[in-house]
Amino acid sequence: MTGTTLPGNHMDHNDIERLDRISAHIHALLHNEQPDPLDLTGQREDEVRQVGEFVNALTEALSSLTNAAHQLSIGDMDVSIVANLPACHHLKNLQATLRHLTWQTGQIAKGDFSQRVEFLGEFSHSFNLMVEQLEAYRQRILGQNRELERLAITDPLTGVFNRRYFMGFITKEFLRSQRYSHIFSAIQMDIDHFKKINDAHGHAVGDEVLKAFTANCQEILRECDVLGRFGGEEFSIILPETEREGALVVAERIRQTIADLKVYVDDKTVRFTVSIGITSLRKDDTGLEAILRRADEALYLAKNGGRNKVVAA
Amino acid sequence: MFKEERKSSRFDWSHLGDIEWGRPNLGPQTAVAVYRLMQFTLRDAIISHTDVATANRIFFDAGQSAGKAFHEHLLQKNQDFDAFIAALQETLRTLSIGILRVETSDLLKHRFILTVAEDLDCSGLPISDELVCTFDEGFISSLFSAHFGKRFTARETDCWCTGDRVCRFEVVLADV
Repeated sequence: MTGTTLPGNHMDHNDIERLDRISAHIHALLHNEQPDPLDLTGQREDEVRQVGEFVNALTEALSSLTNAAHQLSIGDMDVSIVANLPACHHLKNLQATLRHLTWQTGQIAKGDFSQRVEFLGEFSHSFNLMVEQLEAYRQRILGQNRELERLAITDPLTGVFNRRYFMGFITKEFLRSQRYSHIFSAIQMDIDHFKKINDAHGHAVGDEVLKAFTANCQEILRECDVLGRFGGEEFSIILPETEREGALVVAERIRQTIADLKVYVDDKTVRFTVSIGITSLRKDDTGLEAILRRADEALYLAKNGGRNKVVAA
Repeated sequence: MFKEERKSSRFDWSHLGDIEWGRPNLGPQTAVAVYRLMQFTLRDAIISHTDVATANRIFFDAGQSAGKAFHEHLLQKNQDFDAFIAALQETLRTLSIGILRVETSDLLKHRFILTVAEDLDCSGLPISDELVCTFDEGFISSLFSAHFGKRFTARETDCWCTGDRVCRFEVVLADV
């Protein structure tokens, strides 16, 4: 409209009427109404016609802008913003930001907590804080879950696996051995005269004995071996990929280590021994029960044979 | 090396030279206007000597060579998609090339919509109703091809020059 001059002092009645219509038209636009297009073609005054064309273009642009703003405000991020007003550029910027924000939210939902929002002022700060908090909560829950899982499978006193985990492990090991023709050996152990230790020195000392026993066993075992507490002073070991001879060496090393061990609690020194029964998988073993029974029988023979012994079955 | 005749790209990262050694006082940075001076005078000269389609092809091919070398030298290989985008965003920002954002990522259909704000090539140019980021199209298609090990193509759908405030690219598998 630069250089356009509106009719001034020479306006007649018709000019004034046309300008009134233009004024009413702009008023309607400003109040978010939808006026009919201005029809000023064929008028005498070129300047008035120019005003009319400008207002019609403005009407169209504002209408498009209003529609786009409305669509964006109700979450339609695919709305086409065609008008070329500066306000439309800002809306397009907002549209691109919202689209990216939508994608980022999806990423966060998938577990990508590295997403951060920029360019949205205070919202960015709050959103990023929310993501950081979510990630912190998630990490805390993961940590708690790991701790719960650990507690569910370990013996709280000694830290070795509990009976439930051990039975699950030996079941899998048995199935694996059956399927792939692998060997494994099982060890059953019972601390000799443990009740006497408890009676003589108290349960606190008994607990220290159990902890010292498992800690020394762990020192001897490989990472792939699994030590479990079956209950009381009774423990079991699975030695994957280990023949009877290898299991005998391990069992004898445990027996000797424990026989040499001195446990110091306060001013007391406690010495104890362990009886051990071992067995290995046999070709004719059709179930896990047979293996566990043989290991138990071997342990029974070790006990009856004077304790502090290793017996293989 | 630089002026030998060739039928296909022989670009190598070493062609960029040892900038630190070569510019001990001025350093590795320059003004965006200088980059654009090169880009648009080159485009101008190519169009003058050939035609617009040829100029576009040349810029696209150059972008592809640049994207391939960029991926090879500045991005890690064998990342998952999220890590690839995060690294790309970081690198483009660090090098002041643009602010990359993702609007859509469909890993099953291999279709992506990306935007680049404050783009080195076009942000702030006069509105001309033209999509001018042909170099970027080649660059992005090559980055995605290098990441996925499949041929991708990138098409600019919105540009600063068409009145948008970001450049928007649709990236899809080629020949689909």
